[in-house]
Amino acid sequence: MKSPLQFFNTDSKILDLMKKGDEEALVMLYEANRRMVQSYVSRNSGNDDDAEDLLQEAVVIVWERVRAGTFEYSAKLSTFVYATVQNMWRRKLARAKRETPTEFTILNDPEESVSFLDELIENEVSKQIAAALVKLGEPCKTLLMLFYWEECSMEEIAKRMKFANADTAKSKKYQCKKAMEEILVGMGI
Amino acid sequence: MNEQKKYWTDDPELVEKYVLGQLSDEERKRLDAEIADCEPCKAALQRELQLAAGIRRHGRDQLKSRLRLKLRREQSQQIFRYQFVGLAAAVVVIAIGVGVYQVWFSGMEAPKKFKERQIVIKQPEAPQETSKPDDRDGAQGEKDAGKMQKKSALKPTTEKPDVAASQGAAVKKEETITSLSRQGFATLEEGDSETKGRLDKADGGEPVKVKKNIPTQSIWLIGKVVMIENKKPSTLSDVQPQALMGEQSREKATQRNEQRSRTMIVKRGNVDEQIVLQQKSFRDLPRSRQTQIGRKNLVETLVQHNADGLRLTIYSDVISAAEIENATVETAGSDSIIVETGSQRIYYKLPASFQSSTRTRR
Repeated sequence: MKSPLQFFNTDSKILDLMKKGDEEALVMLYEANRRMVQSYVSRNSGNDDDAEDLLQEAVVIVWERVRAGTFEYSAKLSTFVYATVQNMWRRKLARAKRETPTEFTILNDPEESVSFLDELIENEVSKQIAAALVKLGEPCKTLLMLFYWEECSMEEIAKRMKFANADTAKSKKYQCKKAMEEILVGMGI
Repeated sequence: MNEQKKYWTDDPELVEKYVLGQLSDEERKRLDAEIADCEPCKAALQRELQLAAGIRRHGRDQLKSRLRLKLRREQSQQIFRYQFVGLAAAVVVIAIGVGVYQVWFSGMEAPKKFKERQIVIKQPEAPQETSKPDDRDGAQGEKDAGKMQKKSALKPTTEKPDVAASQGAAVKKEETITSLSRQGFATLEEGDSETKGRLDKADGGEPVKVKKNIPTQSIWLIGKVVMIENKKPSTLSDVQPQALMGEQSREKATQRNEQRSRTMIVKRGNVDEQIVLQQKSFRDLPRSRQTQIGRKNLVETLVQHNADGLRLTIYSDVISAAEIENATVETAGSDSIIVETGSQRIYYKLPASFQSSTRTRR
């Protein structure tokens, strides 16, 4: 049994690494919670592959929030990961239940069916945009990733991409978005 | 310009901030209220949300793939570590198994390598001579000298010579020693420490460590005896060979033989050399060597040399235990050894080949 101090030390180390952008923190967080998540998923009709996917997703969510500065350390990281995994798994189970609907569920819950459809469409559009981003190529891909994914400021983007200044970066971003829009239109989105 | 500012969604930066959640709550509520009645705003916002979601999805996918790669690498390293530990454990188990097999299924003997590494010959047990004078053929010359040594050395004392001679490896070793001893010079094969150990043990004397890779050299020398006191010595020629003695006399001689050895450390320069001086009865002398006994003032001596030092085995019945106890060994020049045993001095001249491998002679 780990002492609270050990938990604190591990968590603070992981969070520090995440803030620095060190992706080893992902592995640490993953390994620290692997058995717990596997146990939970296997107790709830899932297998090891499901547990792996869920834990990866949860770890990435922690990463995103820490990087965006929106993560509030109010409980242990493992508690946050466990709660995230629980929510995602419940949603997935509910979705799986809806994917094989009975006549009764369709008649009695039409709104939920529509919401599920929207979710499906959104998911599909996201995939296509991701594909369009790959088509866009460099440096636009990196610039847009820094802006939307890492949520860097224009000053930081200018620094990292070696633009003259933030205004140059902003101008470049505008061009990239326009190019992206053209690709999306070309893809029928 | 006015057209562009008709809706707040016409400002791309504002839309981006809305999508990225970089607006204050108040500002967000205000914009939300405007969106409710603005279809173009909804469409523009939806587009920006889709773009952000798609890019984030790409970012997540990339991050997850990197994570999976790192996890796979971690797992393969872990597997390698487990395999390495497993392999090491298997090697240890096999080594133990082989050791146990050799100990339990090979006549309860320790592995040969173990013997090669540390061979300490203990004080000899009471001589249980099995090689009676009758066992030897009288006309085999120097060959018998080697066999004499080898018989007492290679074969267990409780075993008859013929039985041991029938053993394959032992026979080979015997042949090697015999052929070399024909020239009056026996050199044991490298790595033949087991044989060497037994040889030394059978010869009796103080404990002698035989180190690996250093061959033991053996040579028969005839020492010239010179009297050093006025008292009348019992010269060698006056003494009958033990073969002619009665059984009782033989037993007494054997008992004396046990005690007649002395180990001394002689310093030469900065090197300490161990010299074991030993006296044996005439009857232990190989018959071929007994031919020299008839000559006056001569004594047959087996000189052996190994990494630990020199061993002189004098075959004489006239030297008392007290004389051996007080005997001294000196060097004279680079090729001579002088043994002083109270009433007499015995001089030995070493052959050139023996000198070259003998570091110290005192």
